[in-house]
Amino acid sequence: MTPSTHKAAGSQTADPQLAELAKQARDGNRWAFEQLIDHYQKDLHRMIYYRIRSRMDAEDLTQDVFVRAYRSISRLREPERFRSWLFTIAVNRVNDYLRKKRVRSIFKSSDERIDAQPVTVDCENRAEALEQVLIADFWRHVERIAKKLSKMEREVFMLRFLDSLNINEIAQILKKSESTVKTHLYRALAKFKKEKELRQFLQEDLT
Amino acid sequence: MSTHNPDAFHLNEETILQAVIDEADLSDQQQQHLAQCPQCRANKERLENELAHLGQLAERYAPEPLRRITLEGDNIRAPLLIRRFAFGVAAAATVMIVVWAAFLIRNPQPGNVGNVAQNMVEAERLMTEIDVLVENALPQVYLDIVGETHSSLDEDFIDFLIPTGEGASQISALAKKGSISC
Repeated sequence: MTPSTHKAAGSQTADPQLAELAKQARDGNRWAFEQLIDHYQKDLHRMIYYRIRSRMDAEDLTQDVFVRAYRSISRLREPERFRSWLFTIAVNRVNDYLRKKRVRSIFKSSDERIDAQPVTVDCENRAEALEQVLIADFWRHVERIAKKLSKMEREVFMLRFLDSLNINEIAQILKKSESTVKTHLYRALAKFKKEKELRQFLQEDLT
Repeated sequence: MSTHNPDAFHLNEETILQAVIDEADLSDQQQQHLAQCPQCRANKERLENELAHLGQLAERYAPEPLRRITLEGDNIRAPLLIRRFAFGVAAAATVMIVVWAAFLIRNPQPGNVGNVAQNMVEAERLMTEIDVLVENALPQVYLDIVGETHSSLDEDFIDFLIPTGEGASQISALAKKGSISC
C-alpha cells in the first residue's frame, strides 16, 4: 500500500488492495476514493510536473484530475486498472493545458514558467545552493532531450522511464497497441543514446 | 543451442535497445547470447541503469505536492455549515433587538428627556465655536501677530509683516528689469 517506488522495469502488477479500493470507490465509497488519493497523489503530481514544470500549475492540475476522476469513477469498468485510467485523465488534462499555453504564448513575448527561472545562488548553505544548481542542470538536460523527441516518443519515454509504467499500461493510456508503443519507445531510446551530455551527467551522478 | 559461442558475434546497438524495451522481443538466439555474453549484458545494463537513474533523479528533483486534494463534497459542505451558522446568529440578533425595542417602548425612562436637552445645549455650544472659527480661522497667536487683536499697531508695521500683493508685484517687476539692488 505504500506509494509506488521507482523501478526501471516498471512491470508493476495491480495491487489487489488498491483494486479493491477502486472497486469500492466506484460503488460510491468516498473514503475508498480518498485512500486512492493518498496513494496516488505524489505520483500524479510528479507525472504532471515532469510535463509542465510549474509547481503551482501541477498542483492545480492534480486537484482537477482527481475531481474529474471522482466524478466519473462510476464508469470505471476495470478497477484493477485504476492507475492507467487515472493517468489517462492526467495525460489528457496536461495536453489541454499545454495546448492552452501555446495559444496564450502567441500573445505573450516571454515564457511565464515560474520554475524555469534561473536559479539564484543566494542560499546561505552552500550545499543547498549546489543542489539547486544540480536540479536546474538536470531539468535543462531533460528539457533538451524532450525537445528532440516527437510528441508520441516523448510521451512513451516519460511514461516508461520517468513515471515507471509498463508497456501494457502505456498502451492503455495512449490507446495504442503495444507494438506501436514499443516502436516509439525504440526511436526515443535511439535519440536518448545520442544525448552524450545527459548520459554523462547521469553516469557522473551514478559514480 | 547449448553449443552457442558468445564470442562468435555481439548484439548490435539496435538489438540492445530492443532488449532494453522488451527482452522477449529478441530471437531465441539473441536472448541466449545476451544471457551468456558479459559484454552485451553490460551494454544493456549500463543503458538500463542510466534510464533508471534518470527516473530516480526526476523523482528526487520534482517538488512534493503541498496542497491537500479536496473533493466536490468538501466544497459544498463547508459553506452550508457557515450559512447555517450565519442564519442562526442573524435570527438570534433579530430576536434580541425586537425584545430590547419592546422593553424600551413599554418602560420609557425619565432620564432620556434630560439627556436630549443636554445634547441640544452641547450641540449649540459646538455650533458657536464653529461660527467663531469661520470668522477667524487663524489661531489666537497668529491673530495677535497680524494685529487683529491689536488695532493700535502702525499700518506700516502691518505692511512690513504681511506685504500686499501689489507691493510684491512691483518688486518682481523691478527684479525682472534688473534694476533692483540689495
